[in-house]
Amino acid sequence: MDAKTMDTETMIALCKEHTFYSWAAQGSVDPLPVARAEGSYLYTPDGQKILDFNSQLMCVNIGHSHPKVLAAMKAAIDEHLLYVYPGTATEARARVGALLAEMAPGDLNTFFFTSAAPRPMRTRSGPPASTPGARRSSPATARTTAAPT
Amino acid sequence: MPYDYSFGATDAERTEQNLRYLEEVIMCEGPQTIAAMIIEPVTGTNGVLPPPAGYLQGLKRLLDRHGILLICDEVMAGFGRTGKLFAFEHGDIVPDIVTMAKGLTSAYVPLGAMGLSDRVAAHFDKNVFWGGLTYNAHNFALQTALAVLGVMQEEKLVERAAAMEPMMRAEMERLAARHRSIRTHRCLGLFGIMEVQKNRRGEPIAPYNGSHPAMNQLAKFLRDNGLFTFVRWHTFMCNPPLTISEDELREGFAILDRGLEITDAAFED
Repeated sequence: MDAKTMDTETMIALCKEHTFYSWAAQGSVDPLPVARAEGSYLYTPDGQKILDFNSQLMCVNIGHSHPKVLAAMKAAIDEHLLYVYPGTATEARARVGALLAEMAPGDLNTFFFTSAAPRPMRTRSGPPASTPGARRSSPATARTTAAPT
Repeated sequence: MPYDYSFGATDAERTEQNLRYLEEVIMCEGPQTIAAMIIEPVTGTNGVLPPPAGYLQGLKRLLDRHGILLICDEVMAGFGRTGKLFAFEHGDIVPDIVTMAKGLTSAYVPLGAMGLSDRVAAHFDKNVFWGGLTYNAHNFALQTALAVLGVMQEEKLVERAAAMEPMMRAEMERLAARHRSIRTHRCLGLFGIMEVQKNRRGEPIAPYNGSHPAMNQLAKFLRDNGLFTFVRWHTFMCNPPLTISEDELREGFAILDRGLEITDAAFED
């Protein structure tokens, strides 16, 4: 089944039926349908243009689908070295480590690479932000919760 | 700040009182029991809260005195968001350890990193680092990071975030002048937030962990009118991509401008 040819209602229904959403009671999830993202905008499958005023989770700092990065990612795929075990030396590892050492101030010169942003448990500070799409239930009863950082 | 138990009236007082309080906690727990302290140099999700002037330097000195490492969590505030590569640079400190993710690849693929100072790294020259993960130093993620960092340097996006700050602040001030429901606002680089009040006494329209029908309506209005952002408690976020154009930034605040009529209508006088 091609997602691009799937109608929006079916896409939303299957996402809700077979996938699990974070920070939400599943029954109240109202996901934002997105087909494409470029520059400062998201585009729904029906063509609505949505200005991204939060860089998603404060993370898409260079904007969506930057052409230079997309070209580099395509070229990287053609190099046929997507994954090797952590005990290896690769050119990308060498270059990113050296570049971060150059960019970071002071003597921050050694970098350990992980797979994602951390998700610390958070106490008392409450549930995460409600997006226009996802609603939560019973926030006042949430005593200990994790939040996106 | 939304709910402001006061450590003082000025930055100097707040810094001094906070650090005095922290030192009492450290002495109570015993400094020898504390390996490190982790902070967000600008607290993010809880309300874009920069520390008072002098706090980061004082904190680093205090922790150094007690042999406690300082870890700065730059996952959200790092990679240009605040107009510096790392937010701790606003405080003229260098932490012992820094964590990062998000902006490192602009989230095009998942990648996080921990940066170590030479002193911490040297400890592991002879001591085993008892940790690891299957996707450690994932090559495709690193190839992507290299391209993203290249774009950040070529397009001077850290400097750009700093240069756009006055425009974002001006837009926030314009909205605050037009809407009585705006309580306060702040931004550092393109890390911004606006707070909504329900009356002239400046009470937030919704409490911590709570909501208000007008804020829910505002969230729906923004979605229906083509603006994605976080609306939570009595606040909404203004954290666009660092590449946002001036016209796009104005477009975003124009949508917010119309949306705030909803919270103005809920204002209680």
